[in-house]
Amino acid sequence: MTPLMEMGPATIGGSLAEQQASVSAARRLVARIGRDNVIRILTFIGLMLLWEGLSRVVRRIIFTSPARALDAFTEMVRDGSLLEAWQETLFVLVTALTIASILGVTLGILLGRYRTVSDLFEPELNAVFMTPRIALLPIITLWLGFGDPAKILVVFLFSFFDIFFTVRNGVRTIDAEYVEVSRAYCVSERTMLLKVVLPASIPFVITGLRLGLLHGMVGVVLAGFFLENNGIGGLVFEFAANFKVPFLFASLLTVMLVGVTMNQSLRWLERRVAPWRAEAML
Amino acid sequence: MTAVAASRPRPNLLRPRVSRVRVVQLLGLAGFLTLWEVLGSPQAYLWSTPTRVARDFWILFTERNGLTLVFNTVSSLIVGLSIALPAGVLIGTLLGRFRTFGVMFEPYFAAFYSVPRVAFVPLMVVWFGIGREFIVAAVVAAVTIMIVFSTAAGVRETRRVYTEVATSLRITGWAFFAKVLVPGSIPYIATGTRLGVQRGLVAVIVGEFLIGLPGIGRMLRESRVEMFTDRMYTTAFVAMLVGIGLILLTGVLERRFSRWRPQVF
Repeated sequence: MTPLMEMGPATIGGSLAEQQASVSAARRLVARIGRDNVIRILTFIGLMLLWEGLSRVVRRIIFTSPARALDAFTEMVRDGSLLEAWQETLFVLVTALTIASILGVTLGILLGRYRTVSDLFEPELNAVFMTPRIALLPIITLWLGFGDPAKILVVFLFSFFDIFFTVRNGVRTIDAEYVEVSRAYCVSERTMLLKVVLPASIPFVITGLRLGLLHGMVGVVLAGFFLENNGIGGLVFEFAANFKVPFLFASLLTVMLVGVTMNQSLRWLERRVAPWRAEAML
Repeated sequence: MTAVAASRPRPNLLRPRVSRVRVVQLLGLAGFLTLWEVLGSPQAYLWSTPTRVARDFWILFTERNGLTLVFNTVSSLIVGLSIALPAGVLIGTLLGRFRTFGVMFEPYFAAFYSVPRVAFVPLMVVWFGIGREFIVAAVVAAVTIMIVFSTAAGVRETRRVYTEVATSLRITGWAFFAKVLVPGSIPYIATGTRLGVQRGLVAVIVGEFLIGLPGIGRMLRESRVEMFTDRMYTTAFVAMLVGIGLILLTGVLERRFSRWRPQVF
């Protein structure tokens, strides 16, 4: 879309030949986008046919066809089990992410700004960051049991560090660029934090939130496996344990759908807020 | 603090500051352990204590089979990686090199990237049974996609930066692939691998935890079933050591392969 719009001014100012050239360039672009969509649709149809074909070859007990997965999905929507599971999962996810983002952003900005304090806790923070968080699960069970508080702590531990480290490292790169200039203008520390560091760190905050959300999804699914078997993780776990493969496929597809939606919308926000960083990370 | 450091001549200040930080960090760690020991011992069934963890750690690795369990976990991870790495590099190169391939499949890869891959571990059990195979499959599922996207990014970036130079030097075709594209993408692949190893380790532990195959995951499972507090803390400590070890190792490899360029991402 953007390349087409960028052509606007050139066409107005240019000669007839240039106009024709850019019009045909635009046509080629439209043709290319059209061709891409045709390819995408054909690929989708091809993959669905492949899935259907595989489901006729592979044993029925471990594989399923698109139609049966869709049936399972509609059944779960109708009896409300899917909605109930996602309500539970989203409650845990949102609560934990709220706590993780408040703490992660605040600590990230402060520790990014005040290096000495950060150095002090560096070994402990890195140690927990490098520990596979799942290994803390038995201890969390010991402290908080199997219910929602334990789940919220699990998700918090998964998402906090992604948010914290992204923001902290981001703030450190800002430091070098803007702080010297602000200092040259004798800006007070309070103004520096609120008017320089905070706005400049917003892109990192959004990237951190996106990474924290993706990792938090891992946490919430694992919490459903190993703590109370409810939520979407519990659903996946129970369908697998009972070999209800169409239902397993359908619930995994909803996990994909939610993951993609969340990731894409935060990526969109990231591009809006900081277009120059759009390609920086996935 | 940083401002003070910046305004003075650097060489005088830098060295003592680094060692002072280390000293303070060590003091902080010692304080943390002492506090844990003192506050933990009245309710050791809930908090354990550093000395109890140390004793259990010693027992685990001398009298019990701790080393075998760690070996099982790490070897499953390495087997999975040895499949995921070539597969990820191949798919990533296709994705970065051929636009049409990207148009066809990138949405599906992007979808798979956004999803928590540990959710697929139970499906792997259904498909591959409860042997080691399902853990390897879970690692492949968890890690490949991380390598796919970092390789694709590397290939795209290398082509963008070096195509003109290479063409003007008449380096095209196979020579371009072998002499420019591959070495240019390796730092990206190394970064993807480092991120992938962390996720892969989680996948292995989750698999062992679910099914009870011998490894770090089974230690977690057993300590939880037996309500063996010290063992829970010991296992977390072992998992931490393995995690740190793997990250340091992949970090060394990453630096080794990207030594010729100062910064990657």
